[in-house]
Amino acid sequence: MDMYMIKNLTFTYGGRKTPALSDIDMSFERGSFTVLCGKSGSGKTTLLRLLKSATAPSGEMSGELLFEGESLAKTDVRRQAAEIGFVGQNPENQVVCDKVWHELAFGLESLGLPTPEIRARVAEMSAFFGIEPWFHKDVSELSGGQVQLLNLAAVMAMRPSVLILDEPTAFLDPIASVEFLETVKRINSELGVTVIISEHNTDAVIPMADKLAVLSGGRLEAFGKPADVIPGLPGDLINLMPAPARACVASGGEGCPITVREGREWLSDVVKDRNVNRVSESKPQALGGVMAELKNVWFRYEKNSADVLRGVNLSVRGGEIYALLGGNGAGKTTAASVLGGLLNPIRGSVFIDGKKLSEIPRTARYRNLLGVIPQNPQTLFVGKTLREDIDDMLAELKVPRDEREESARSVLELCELSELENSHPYDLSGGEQQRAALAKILLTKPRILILDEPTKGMDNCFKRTFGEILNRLKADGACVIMVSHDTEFCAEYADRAGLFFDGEIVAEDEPKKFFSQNSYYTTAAAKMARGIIDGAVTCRDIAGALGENEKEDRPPRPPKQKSDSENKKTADGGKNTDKNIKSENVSTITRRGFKGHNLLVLLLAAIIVPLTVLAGVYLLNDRKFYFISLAVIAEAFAAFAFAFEGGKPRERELVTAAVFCALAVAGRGAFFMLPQFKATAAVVIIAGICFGGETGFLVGAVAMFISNMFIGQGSWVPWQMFAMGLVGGLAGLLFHSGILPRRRGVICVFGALSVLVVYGGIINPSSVLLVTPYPQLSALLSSYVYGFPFDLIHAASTAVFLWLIAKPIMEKFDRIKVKYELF
Amino acid sequence: MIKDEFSRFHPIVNFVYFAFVLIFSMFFMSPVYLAVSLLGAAAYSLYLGGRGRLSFILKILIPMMLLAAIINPLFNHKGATVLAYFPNGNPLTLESILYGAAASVMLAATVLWFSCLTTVMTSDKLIYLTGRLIPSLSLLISMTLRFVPRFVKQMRKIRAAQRGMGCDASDGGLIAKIRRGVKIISIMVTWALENSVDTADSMRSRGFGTSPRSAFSIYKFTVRDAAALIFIFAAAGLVIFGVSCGATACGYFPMFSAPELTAPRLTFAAAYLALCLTPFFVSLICGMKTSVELHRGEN
Repeated sequence: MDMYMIKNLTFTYGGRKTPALSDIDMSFERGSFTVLCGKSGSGKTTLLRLLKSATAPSGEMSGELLFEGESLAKTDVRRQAAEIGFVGQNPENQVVCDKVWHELAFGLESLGLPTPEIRARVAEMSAFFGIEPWFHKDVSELSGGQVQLLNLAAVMAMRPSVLILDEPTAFLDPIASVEFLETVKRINSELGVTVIISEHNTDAVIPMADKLAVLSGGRLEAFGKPADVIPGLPGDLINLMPAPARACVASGGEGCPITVREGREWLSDVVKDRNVNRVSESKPQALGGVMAELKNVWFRYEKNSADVLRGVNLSVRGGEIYALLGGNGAGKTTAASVLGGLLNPIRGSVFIDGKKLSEIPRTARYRNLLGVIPQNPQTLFVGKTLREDIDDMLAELKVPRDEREESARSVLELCELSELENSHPYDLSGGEQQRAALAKILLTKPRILILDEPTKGMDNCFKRTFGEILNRLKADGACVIMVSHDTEFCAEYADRAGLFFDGEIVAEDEPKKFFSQNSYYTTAAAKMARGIIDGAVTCRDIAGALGENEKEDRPPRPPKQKSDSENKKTADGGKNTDKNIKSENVSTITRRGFKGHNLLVLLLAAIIVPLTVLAGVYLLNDRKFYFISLAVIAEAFAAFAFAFEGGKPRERELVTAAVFCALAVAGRGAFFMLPQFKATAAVVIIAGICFGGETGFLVGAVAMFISNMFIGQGSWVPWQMFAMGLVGGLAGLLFHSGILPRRRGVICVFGALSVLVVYGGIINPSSVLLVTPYPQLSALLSSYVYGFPFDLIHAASTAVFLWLIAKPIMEKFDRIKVKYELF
Repeated sequence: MIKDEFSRFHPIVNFVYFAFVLIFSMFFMSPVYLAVSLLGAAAYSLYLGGRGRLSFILKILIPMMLLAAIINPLFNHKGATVLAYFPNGNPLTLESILYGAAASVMLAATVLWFSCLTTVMTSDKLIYLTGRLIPSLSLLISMTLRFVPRFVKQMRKIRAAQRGMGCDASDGGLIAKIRRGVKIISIMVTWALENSVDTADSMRSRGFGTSPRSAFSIYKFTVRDAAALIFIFAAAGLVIFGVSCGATACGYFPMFSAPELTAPRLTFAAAYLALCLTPFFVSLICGMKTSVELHRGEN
């Protein structure tokens, strides 16, 4: 029996007219390894997510989806949780707990398994995956590759019969990707688990596959054995295939080589009966003057740590794309940061446009000169739409208003984003986000552009688009320096490549020579052509040598963009913005609150608290004030905790509450430029407004508790927790239920008052209670007087924060609520 | 690695121990008991924290004690033995000075015990303890602990990215600084909220909410944990018995009156001393055992 049977499946996201998937007919055999390919926005993610009810996006579905012969929608969710394993793209996002061992056990705990069984399974999985050395570590200490392996192990501990992976290596470097994919292969071949995977890195994964499914525009373009499927693919989809196959198809060859070995066999056969052209030398270009230069640069991060850069020399001219390649931790990114002026070298100097970088003032460096694009484009997005983000940047650059429209339009056009200007930056795919980041930086009109891993997680089609943009910039005389692991991309687009090793550049040449000299650190095409066709490093070179010019099959720009964006919004990641239509298998998350438990809480308050006070007065002598107040606080916590547990909070509520707690903790110490400013109270108040009183209280209390875990617990902790809890609770009580209007001014006044009266009102006397037996009014009053200046700063900073961030955060929260049907 | 043997005991043993010593040290005002508590707390804290803790004691704790000792006589004018009068006519009494000194010792002991607690009760022990009783809240704490280092790291990346665009929060005037700082927080919040949905999906995909959760832990309750627990309960029981006999009674007002130190009362105080020094006994006993075993292994 097949694991999955899909008949006539059509799926439309809620509020959309065009289906994201149409008429899909396919089946996944038990124990098979299937690779799902397609351009970004072709519906891969949608299809994979539909295979498990818990991850299924909401929308209209027709057709049949059978899991082990039974309709998936009718399969018990608990059984699905155990038997269908799902691993997504972003490794960090999928981890729930702070410790490795706890994360491994998370799913098993959710299934309610007893401890001995969990112990056995976790032990087994750690041995299989080689996790023992880091079993006791914090997740935050792991590398990206380890985190993704942990996610896989945590899913495998539940003993699934099928494993679904959605671009699992998009965030990993090449070595970690290969290691991860090999583990997946092991799971398939040693344990017989069915694998369904979508992956950009087809060179590594297609050789493992039994079946290849190619999606295009929501339809199943082809499905079958890779060697049967690939030769018949249309031009633009061939680009997604492994290099040997691409080279073969481009040169009009027979057969279908998939691995480098097969590619070499094919190529040596072919050259026997064809005359081989010489690989065309790259044309010498008209280069500008030296734009960026590193001269004997040394760098280390800490005084006593090892040198990361050891005498780097590098010079890049205008109109040149320079690629910096090398293994992990070789110092490539550090070198780029030094060149970009983000780090200062310990020895040596950096010259930008002929001037010493250290002599250019910081603000002037990034205007019409240097542009540094971070590895993660999400570190740049601030607006509700892409256009808003661009406008924000234009305002920062003080571009006159009448010129803004023109600048925005031209940069969006250059980066092929014109159709997407009204999308939310987070609704864009990885490749589009990278281009959006580029667009933002290009507004500063940089002449030297520094990129860090720009093609990470992009499919080959997006890479081409990106490469063409770089070529256009180059043509305008800019110089581009990119740090990359992507040998194929560098071979295609770079003018020079340097190999970074052990803190310096050990080899440097133009890509054709660079990659044909290297035998390991090179492209698949070069590995294939070594000794057969000299100097060929790209599929285009091989095809050219065999007398065919690879067709320029890049589709015309504007129409492609349109369909891409349209599909993107509907197809990838289950991101829809309309919540009117819900599919049957998405459980409606209603706001469960504490309603049924309010009575209990009241009872607690009405009976137990007075009893505590009475008992304290009679039983205790000198210390009664202290202990009674402590006991009452403990009871308040117990009541709230109990109510929270009783409400059985759902995962989305828990996660967002944890986000607010962590923001409040980070906000306690993170406001770097103005030391007395603390964002904690502001974040807690916003949490109260967003979630309501009870959760507001908990966020406040948990935030104070955890921030004290980092600083050190003390006897003041219960009071701080209680006071901050009350601040959050009050905010929720007054704003969430609509007693006070959610207007900016009102929130600010509330924030200042609550910090001054409630927080200060509890914290100040608590210190008196700690040291005096019979607190007298004078002592309490003077504690307020002494505390007042600090409280005032605290209150003022809270009001300022709320004035500036309350509205934006609430809007962001509302977007999340609507988008993911939270509450 | 952890040199302290007591930290390796089952979290329940650690928790019970700290619950007793913290409540006792906040409760007892009798000089003997205060001294015992301070001694135990200081010794254990120094043992755990080493040189760093010593400088904390000298630079922060002792000034704090002095302040606490001064505050009390300033505001508390009870007591029969008047030593002098303040300019406003309020009396300065011997009893209030004594009480101030006692309160400052108590404060110091509590702070030191808490510092030990922070070192010994690591987050995973805490989550283990709360896991059974309040599973959702425990998970919330675990998730927050997971997010905090992540957010701090991301905040750093966002700052670097902003600097690369020439929008560094440490440049410009006050208004520009605040505006850019707020922008960084805004980017941070968007990132955190948007990405949190993946986390929720990952939880749901792994069956969260489909059945009542069980609580897994890597801790095992062994014979030595039971022995330690019995010892702690026995010592604490004796102390509590002593309390009911009035051994810890100590009045400061209107006149200082401490009970005489009789033999049974000394026993109770000794029990308290034993309780406060438990981590050392444990280390001593277990330390001997390990060294013997290692020796055998060599032969």
